[in-house]
Amino acid sequence: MTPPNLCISCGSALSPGRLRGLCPRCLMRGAVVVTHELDREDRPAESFCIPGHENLRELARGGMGIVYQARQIAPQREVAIKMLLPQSITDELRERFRLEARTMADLNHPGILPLHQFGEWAGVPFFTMKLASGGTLAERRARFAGEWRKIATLLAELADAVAHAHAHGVLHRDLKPGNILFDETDRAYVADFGLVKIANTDSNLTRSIAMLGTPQYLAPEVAAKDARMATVRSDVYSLGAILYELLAQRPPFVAEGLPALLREIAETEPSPLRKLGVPLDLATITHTALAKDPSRRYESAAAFAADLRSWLAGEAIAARPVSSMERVWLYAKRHPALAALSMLLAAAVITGVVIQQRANASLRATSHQALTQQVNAIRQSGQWELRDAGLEAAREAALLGNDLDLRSDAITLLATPGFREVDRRPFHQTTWTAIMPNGEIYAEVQEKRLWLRTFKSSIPDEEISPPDPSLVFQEATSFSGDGNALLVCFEGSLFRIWQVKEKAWAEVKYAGVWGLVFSADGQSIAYGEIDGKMVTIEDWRHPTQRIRFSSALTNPAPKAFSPDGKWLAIVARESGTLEIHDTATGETVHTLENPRWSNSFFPVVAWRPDSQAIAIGTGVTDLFVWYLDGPSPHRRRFMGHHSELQGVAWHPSGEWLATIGFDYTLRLWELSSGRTGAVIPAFGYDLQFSTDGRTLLVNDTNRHELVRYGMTVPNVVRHVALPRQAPDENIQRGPWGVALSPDGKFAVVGGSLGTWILDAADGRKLLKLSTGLVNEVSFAPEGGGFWICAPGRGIYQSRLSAINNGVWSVTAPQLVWGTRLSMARMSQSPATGLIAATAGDDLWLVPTRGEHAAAQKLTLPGVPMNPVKQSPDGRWIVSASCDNHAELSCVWDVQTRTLVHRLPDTLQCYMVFSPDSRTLYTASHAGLAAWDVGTWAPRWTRPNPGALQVYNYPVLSGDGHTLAISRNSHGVDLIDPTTGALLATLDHPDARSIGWLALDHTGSRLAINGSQYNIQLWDLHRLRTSLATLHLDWSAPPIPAPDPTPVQGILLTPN
Amino acid sequence: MNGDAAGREALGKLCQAYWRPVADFLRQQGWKQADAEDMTQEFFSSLLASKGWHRADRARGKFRNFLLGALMRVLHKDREHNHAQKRGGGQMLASLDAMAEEGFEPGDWDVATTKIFDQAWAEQVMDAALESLATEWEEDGRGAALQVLLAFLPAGSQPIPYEQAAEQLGMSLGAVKSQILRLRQQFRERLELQIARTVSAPHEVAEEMRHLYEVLASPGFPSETSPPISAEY
Repeated sequence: MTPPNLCISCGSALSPGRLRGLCPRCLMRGAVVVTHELDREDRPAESFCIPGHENLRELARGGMGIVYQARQIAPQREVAIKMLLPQSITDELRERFRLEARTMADLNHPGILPLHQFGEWAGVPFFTMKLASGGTLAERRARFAGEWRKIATLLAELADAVAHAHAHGVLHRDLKPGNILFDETDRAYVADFGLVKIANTDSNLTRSIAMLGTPQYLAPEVAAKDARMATVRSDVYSLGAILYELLAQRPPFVAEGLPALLREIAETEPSPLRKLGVPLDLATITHTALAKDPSRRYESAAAFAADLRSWLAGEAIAARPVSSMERVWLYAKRHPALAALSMLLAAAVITGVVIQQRANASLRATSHQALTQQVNAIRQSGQWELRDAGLEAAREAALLGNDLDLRSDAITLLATPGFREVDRRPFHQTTWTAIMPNGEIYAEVQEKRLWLRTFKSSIPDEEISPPDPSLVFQEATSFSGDGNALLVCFEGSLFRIWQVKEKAWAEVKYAGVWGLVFSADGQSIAYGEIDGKMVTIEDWRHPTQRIRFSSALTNPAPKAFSPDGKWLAIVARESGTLEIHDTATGETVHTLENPRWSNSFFPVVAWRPDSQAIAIGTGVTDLFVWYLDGPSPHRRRFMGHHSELQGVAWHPSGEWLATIGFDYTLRLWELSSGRTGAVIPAFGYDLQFSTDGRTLLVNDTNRHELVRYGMTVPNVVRHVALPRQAPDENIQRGPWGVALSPDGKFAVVGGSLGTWILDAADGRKLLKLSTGLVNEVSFAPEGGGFWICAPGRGIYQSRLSAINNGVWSVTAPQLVWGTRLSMARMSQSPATGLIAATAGDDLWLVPTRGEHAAAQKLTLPGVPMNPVKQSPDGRWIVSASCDNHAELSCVWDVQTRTLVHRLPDTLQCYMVFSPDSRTLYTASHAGLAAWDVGTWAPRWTRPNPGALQVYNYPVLSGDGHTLAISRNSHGVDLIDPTTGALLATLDHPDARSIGWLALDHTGSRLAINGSQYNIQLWDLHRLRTSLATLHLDWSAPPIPAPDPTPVQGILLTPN
Repeated sequence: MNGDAAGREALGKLCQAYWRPVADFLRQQGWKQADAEDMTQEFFSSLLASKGWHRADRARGKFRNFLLGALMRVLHKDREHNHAQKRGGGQMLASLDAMAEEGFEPGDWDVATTKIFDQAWAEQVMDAALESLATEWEEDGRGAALQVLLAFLPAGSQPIPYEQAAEQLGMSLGAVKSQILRLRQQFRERLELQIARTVSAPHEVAEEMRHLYEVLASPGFPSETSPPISAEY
């Protein structure tokens, strides 16, 4: 016997004549590699996932379909997934299933189960919808026994939903208790549109008698003939049958066997409900809906609902004409006093008005609730694509009523980027397309001809001729950062540069090299040697000006110049190592090791626009971002893709990243939180943000389209990432202090690596002061400078002043009080110039004016805690200390240097004085409180938001009109300082904790620092303006806009 | 009854999917090719004619188990009867009818037998998926490209450098890789589609896919010395 052929890859035997000679085992792996779905060890063995869902379990199974319960990953929610059973799939059934999904998608009503998604999985169509976990009406029937009003209310709601469907031209045709579902809050939904008929169509889909609904609830004309007889009135009949069943606790007709049942339905009348004690009018409504002759039934579901509501309101029903005397009597029963006075009024008219108003009020409430829930769901989902829809829903909801939750949801949406597909342009050949950084022009080779094309239809395509007729275009490789140079590859791997402005080919030719990249200014080009270790950087216009250096990598491929041109990132196919070289000397600055699992993916690399961080995807599913601005590089990992990364790009703001993976998704990441903002099906290698950050271009090589996505950059908040110290990100915390200048121009942030001065408008880092570890920074209320509290060294002061034309100067920090004590917090009084500081175990009073007198020590009772605040008038100091295991806030009289009061209930207390020194605000385990200074009586108190959400750190704007306070790990509340009323909640992405806050004088800017060296800079003026356009602003005097004069720069001057 | 006819038709489809694995299994058991095919044909026609199909349960793996049980039973009976009389269709039908009455005990046969049968099934499913994929490419006029790209379909297989494939196809490197990825994705979809035809509910597709993976990855298939599959990840 001859030995079997073996697979050269895995050694398995090959089956002759099968699988086209391929190895079954490797084939299977090839299929699995696509999504990595099966090789995950952490997956439960029984797992079954349709994309984006997990943890399915079977809920119900019918003859042709199956319903699962599942958890959707984003937005996180429990959903129901309906699928056809694979073996029963026929074209007709598939079409019907699509019709059902489409119908549900079109019907947007609170009483109709909402559809979330529709798709196909493994050839099986499915859709997902809201999970109604409260069972069916069939299961709940007994709960309604004798509950006439409850029954009428339910049926009126169901009839509303059915009326909505009818208004959209949809007949349900299978209404029955089993198709009425309840959610966990007992809200009822009409479900299962599997037998819908679209009115005025007569497709084959509606004909098959085999698909007819449950006979017991079928109208006689349908039961007797066929489904085509179904009308609005047959759905009314089915509603009547459900009503009958709830009232009588049995269906209207019961018979042995199908033929007998059909005869009953067609010929006999149901037993009168009056015999069962059902109120006359309710029974009349039911029997009217169940009339054998469709013309004697209610003409619409809406009329049926209206009559049920009339009965509920004690009004005359339409079903049974009542005499005018009876009508007046009904009215008088409701309004005895009014009736006596208005004998002459036409009762019918009044009744009509009352009905209308009630209907409107209930409609408004329902719509408001539905819209609010929609906004909240979108906010929870965090999906950028839904942002605009969410804001639109918020605007509509606000017209029906403005509430706090809605406002907070809208604020989160306003702070979220928007993302949407704008257009797709087909490109012709399956080659690389080079995109100019402005995103407007791209170059592509089509049938061996090179074209420059633009998205503007008014500008014609420009064809570029080869420099030499013997050269054949292969692909347009890349543009330089300034868009002026286009690297072009010819067949035979020869590279030439096209000068876009000059419309001429540059002299240089590159062959036998790879990894050609331009510097951001387009002046230089770098390339690596194939089969060597040498890398060259040269001025391509003057190629004699070059440096050559050796890399430790084999076959080094330059990937990207840093935007500032100082560094060059180099990778190699066989390794996860990222080398950073100095472009001036060629020296290796960093060697950054990354995991690498698969060699079939070339590493992808992108620099953050400020050149201080670099992102790399190395052939594992995670993205790594290396921060190079700290003392040593450290790495952060972003997990989300299910497969290797193919492309990565930074948003020009540096706040967001886009990645594209082999899992066929495009993901947008928020750097500050690590959260994925959008996950969009896409495939390709090349993606690029436009320089204004409003467009993302993706070269979709799967569909051969250049896809343009639009991005809305939120203008209400900026995220700033500051350098960190330790490579171990888990223990990294800080920064420790943040302050805003009174004019709102500058944010000063102190941390373990020094103090940064930021432009508070756009988050630019203007200057770093080498102060070492800083615990607190604070601005003098009148401006002009800030104090820095440095543990073990003392208190420093820097003066800040405008020079001219937006240029400012800051003085190097000057020591005001030197101490070797460990220092925590400080507070300065503009009236006395005195600084109160907690240092060591004591409270210190440090004079800052006139002659530098010695600081005075006040010994605190018990063990002192950190926080300390001084009233602006300099009369009072409040400090926290721990005495006999109880923490208290102590009030000191500064003049007498004595302890005059202890505030009750102020464990773990932080505090702030109002600018007029009349009110003290404290946040403690008991909540937020405002105290009358002097009498120390509480003005108002506000409990903490929850057991796990306590108020932490209050700040007040310089004008005293805005009070902001952090709730640990859940955002920042804006509070009305005079009443303690909650005005709005600002979300914070940092789930671990929020550090300190700062407000400027007018409250137009708010700075929040997170524990992960993230600073959020809110523009509260813009936020309120945006909220006002949504009708969601709160009533308070408007916040003035901050001074728009931009800061051009800041100079450090000696003292 | 109507339902019976539909059920029988569905089972007929299912049996078609398993025709080849059964024949392969018999080959593995030492039957000659022609005999194995005859036997398979007779087995399925008897099964569909018998009352036995009522016992068929599509639920994941159970149908395969049922099929193997029925097959093992008739093989056993076949051996018994071969001593006494010539084998005949009536005999097999009777045997399957008897099974319908008595039921059969899963696990009447050894693990190795199940594995051989499962492997035959796995290859059949993959072959069908591959053929449907190839047919589509060929019908679309991409047959020549497929000739080159097919060799890249198995994971870890790089019969020629990507660059060479790019040259042969007149595509850029990026385009070649893109095509390979598409091919793998499509193959996986076809595979799921094939599997979907043999299970009772959609959630079993993933389970069967996993089983398929395990069947192929399990040591001993087909050579004991195969390297572990997960090394790459």
